[in-house]
Amino acid sequence: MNKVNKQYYILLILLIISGVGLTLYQHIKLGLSWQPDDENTIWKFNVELQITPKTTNSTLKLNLFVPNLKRGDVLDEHISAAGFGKIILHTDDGDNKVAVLSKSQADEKQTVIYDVSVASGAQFIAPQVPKINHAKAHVRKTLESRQLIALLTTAKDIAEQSADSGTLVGQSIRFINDDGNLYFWQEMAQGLPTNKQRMKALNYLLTELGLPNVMLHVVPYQHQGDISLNNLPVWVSVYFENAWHIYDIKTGQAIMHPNQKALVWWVGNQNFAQVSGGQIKIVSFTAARQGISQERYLALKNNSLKQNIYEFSLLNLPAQTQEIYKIILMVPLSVLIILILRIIIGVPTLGTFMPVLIALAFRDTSLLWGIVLFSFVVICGLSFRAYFEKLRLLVVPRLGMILTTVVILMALISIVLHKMEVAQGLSITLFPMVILTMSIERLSIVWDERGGVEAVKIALGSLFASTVCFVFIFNHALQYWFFTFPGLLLLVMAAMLMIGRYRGYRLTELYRFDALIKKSKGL
Amino acid sequence: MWWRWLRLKQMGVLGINNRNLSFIQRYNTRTHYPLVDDKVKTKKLAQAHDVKVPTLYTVIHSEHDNKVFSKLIQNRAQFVIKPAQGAGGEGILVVTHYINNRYRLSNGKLLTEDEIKYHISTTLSGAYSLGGYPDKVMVEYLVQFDDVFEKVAYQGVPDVRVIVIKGFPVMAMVRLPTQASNGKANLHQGAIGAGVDLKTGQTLHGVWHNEIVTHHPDTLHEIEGVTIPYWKECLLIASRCYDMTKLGYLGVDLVLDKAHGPMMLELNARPGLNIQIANQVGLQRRFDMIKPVLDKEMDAKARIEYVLSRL
Repeated sequence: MNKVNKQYYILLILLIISGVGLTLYQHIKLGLSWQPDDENTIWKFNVELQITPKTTNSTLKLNLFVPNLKRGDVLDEHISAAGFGKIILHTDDGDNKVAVLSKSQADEKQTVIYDVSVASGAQFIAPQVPKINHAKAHVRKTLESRQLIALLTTAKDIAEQSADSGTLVGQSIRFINDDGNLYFWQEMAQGLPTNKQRMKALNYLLTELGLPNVMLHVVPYQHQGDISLNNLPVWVSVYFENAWHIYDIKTGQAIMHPNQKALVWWVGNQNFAQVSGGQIKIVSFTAARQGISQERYLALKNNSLKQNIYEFSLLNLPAQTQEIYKIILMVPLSVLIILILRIIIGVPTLGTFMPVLIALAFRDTSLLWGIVLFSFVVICGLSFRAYFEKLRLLVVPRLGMILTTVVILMALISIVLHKMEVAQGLSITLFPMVILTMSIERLSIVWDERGGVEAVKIALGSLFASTVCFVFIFNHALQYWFFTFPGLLLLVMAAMLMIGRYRGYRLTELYRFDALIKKSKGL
Repeated sequence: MWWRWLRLKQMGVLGINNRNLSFIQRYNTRTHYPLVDDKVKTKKLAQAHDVKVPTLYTVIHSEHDNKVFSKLIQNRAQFVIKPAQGAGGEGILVVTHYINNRYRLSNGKLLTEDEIKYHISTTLSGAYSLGGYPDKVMVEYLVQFDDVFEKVAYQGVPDVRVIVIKGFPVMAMVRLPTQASNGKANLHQGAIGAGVDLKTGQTLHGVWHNEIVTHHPDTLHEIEGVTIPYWKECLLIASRCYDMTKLGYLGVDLVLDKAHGPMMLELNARPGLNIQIANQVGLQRRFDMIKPVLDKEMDAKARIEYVLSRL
């Protein structure tokens, strides 16, 4: 294969591979749907706090935990707190994020709302694995000696009954849910334990058993209605065999796909919120499902990612420019269609780009009226041409006469139709006018050079081609595909390359050479 | 529909896509196109290579030349005024007599010298050239047509077109003007194309707007069976036009003059495909025949011999 052919095939293969690759990457990795009207489901999680200040005009300082999620999974985040200074930071140990709010002169009840929008399955950032020695030391520090003894005894019992880490966890969870362990609870809680105390007990127990563990406070996806702080589900995440294993501390059930089931709000034993200068009255969590359009989803995702290829995506352009590009990106496909019509089928057209321009002009005039207008004005223009030809003018001034009469004609049409209260007359905007005059100029030249019959054929062919293009350009699904998956343009180029080497007969030729076919039949 | 494709493929019919890709692009170098698009250049080239062409009396380049028009034509009563870059036969004045101080055209019209100068002026300004560009005007010898075509031509100039691939003449047809074509030998405008047997120079049936015809609609005479005189010389001229222009896919238009015999009228670097219908043979088929010796160094005579011996 010679050098040129090699280059051709290399280019062709490159285009196909990169076009398909880019498109699949966008679909699979970035999750962009094939369907233009697919709704994306996003979840909006809400926590509402009501705070009463201790005295009038006191300074309120409020800390509350907010979800610590993988960057890019957070689509949107807001804090609604009138008059508060707000900031969101990572905690010192890096395991959580906390919102710090303050207000200097708070006199009446304050409502603070934090909300976060996520795609379903948003991932929380796993906490660091607690060092077991530190954890044990912490337990020793916190508990009194009698409590410690109770704890250690229980731990020993459980260890004797368990074969592996999973069983250790299961037994521990069963233990702390059992109110019948009177001795244990007497020491640890002075009676019946609260949820919080149960949770802490589990944490210490597992620590003593040598299992690093962290408590997860979660808001489930499917829950209907509000959840109060007290009723917030808690999971325990235990680290053994080089991985985290998550269990529901109420049921002991292992949680297999935690991110699909609930949003992890914060990790650890601390309280959800702390306030100074006031009192937190009510805290409630809600999870609401929202369907949003593909466009909005892309825009949100684009905002949150802010790095990677979306930085240079068309979505960064202002909305108006985006709308224009939606059309411009359809032009290559239309040109491809024209190529197919001309080279494979054999439709005669006025150049390659002209039918595309006419199709774009139809957008202003609407298809049917556009065809009527185009046909009418072209017929008039060519009739003027026939007359002016008799005057024996130079080519270019003759063209000038034709174009001027066409412009006058179009103005008359607009006025007459407006008087007749036909709205269509006003759809002759600048762009269609320009395209029409260009078409008449070129048709006139074709008439000069190749005769009237050719000119008519070309006019009809162009009209047909532009109608086909119109249908494709203003198709909602196609617009979505080319705007979202620019890789498709590479595939269009590949198709054009292939047509560039097409040596076969045109459809029209199969009929043009009819006489030859008839002869071969006779053979 | 597919069987149509197959049939055409079997007959070796050349489609327009294949013509453009495998022949015009491959064998015609773009830089040589001006040699055939500008008729003045073609003529000068032909004269340099000893290829018979209608004598060029003068070329009018500007208004100044136009002013001395009468001196330039030196009291000739018969000549043809032609735009150098004209298309489709437009702008040609065929002057046959000088009578009553006027020039009489072949269609009967009478023009004064001033009217002719006006026509030349408009031609110079590009009235008849492709794209309206300024042009030159050629004044050349009026071909006295050989009677052989009298019975099958109506009021115009029949010409012989030979398709020459790398110097090998592969197919030929005669273009016969009709009333429909206004006396022009232009197939698109309604002239009849009659295939020609390359070995004998005899016409086959005709094709008119893609359909086979056997009789001329205006003279009512049978088209088939007319023998073109000096046929071997026609082929020779056609073949040598390749040596002259180095265009590998060429259409050579010849006319037959009573006194001078075959002369090259003009050349075409993008000849059409209807010649296949006129001959009922495919160009690809003929090309396959000459393919083995395509690049061999052969002179015009040898190339013609090769083709004729294999038909």
